[in-house]
Amino acid sequence: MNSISQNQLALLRKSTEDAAKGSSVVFSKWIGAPVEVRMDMVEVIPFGEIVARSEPLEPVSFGLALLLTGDLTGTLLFLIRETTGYELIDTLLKQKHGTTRSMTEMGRSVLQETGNIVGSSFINSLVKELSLDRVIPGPPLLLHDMTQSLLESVALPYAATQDEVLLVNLEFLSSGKSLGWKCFLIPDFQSLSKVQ
Amino acid sequence: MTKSIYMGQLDVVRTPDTLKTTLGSCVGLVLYDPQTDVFGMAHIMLPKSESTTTAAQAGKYADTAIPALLAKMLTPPSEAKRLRAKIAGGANMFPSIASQKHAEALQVGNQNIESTLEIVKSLGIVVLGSDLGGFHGRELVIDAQSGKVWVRSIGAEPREL
Repeated sequence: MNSISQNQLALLRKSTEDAAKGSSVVFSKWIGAPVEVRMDMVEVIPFGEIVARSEPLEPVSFGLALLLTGDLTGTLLFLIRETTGYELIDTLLKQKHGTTRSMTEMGRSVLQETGNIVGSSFINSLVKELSLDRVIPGPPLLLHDMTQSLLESVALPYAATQDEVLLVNLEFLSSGKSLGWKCFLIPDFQSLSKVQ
Repeated sequence: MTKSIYMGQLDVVRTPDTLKTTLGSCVGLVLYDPQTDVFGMAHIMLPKSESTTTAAQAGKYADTAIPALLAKMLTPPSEAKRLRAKIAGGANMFPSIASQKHAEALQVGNQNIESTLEIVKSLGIVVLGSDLGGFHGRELVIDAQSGKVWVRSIGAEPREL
């Protein structure tokens, strides 16, 4: 079974904090309003504690998953509160808030593009901070389901090779208030050997 | 009182309490012992343990979680055939994410289902209900007071297993 050292953890915390700041700028530009992306936690925890340590979670969310390949492998998962997702679609389509009440192909495309832009900006910043060569985020996959099921399904692929999971949790805020967005990076322990 | 279990955990419940878990690719196994009126639930992550698996990790694997659940229910394995089982989960929620690691992981849901059913049947336990596979999450609930086991998915009414 693989593990992660305290030095690697400290480096990941510092790098995540800096990369989150970079993502704040990109996200703010994308939606045309100030948004702060803040590091909430970077910790190694047992699989069974993922849900409890990620509270508060909405019962149902939109989940946007991006698979990472290259120097750092893992999965980036955005969990978006349903109402926030619909508001974001209205904002980006320049519609009155409340217009979108269910998911459409256009809405799906808007959320996927948002995940692509914000996720790629965060990963690119993180790669730079960690002095890695290349990490490629895959195309975002959007699901609407129980939040705990989404988190579990993203974490499970790593359970066969590690007993614990490194959970990098970002919170999205506007004027200090939570937007109902969370972002989880679950890296493959094996790929963290290049993080020194 | 309502209790919850998460990935790799197991617990027991007696009337009037409720025990629940939320499943994606993992499998939720419910066992009921009519002699002691005790329900048990395991949230199984992987089909088979390794030689290095410790007692603390027993709930993670089907082949160690089921004996551990029997022990927690105080049901001797030799008397397991009096138990009744219900099983849910094993979904494949992100089928289009493709990589070697994930391609293997996509099989985990199915392997969890197969391994759990095989062990349960080898103990002579009858499976009374199941809700398995698919592409969606599930909430699995034991209501020990009514003796019913419910499964719920979003956009669908809860149904008794």
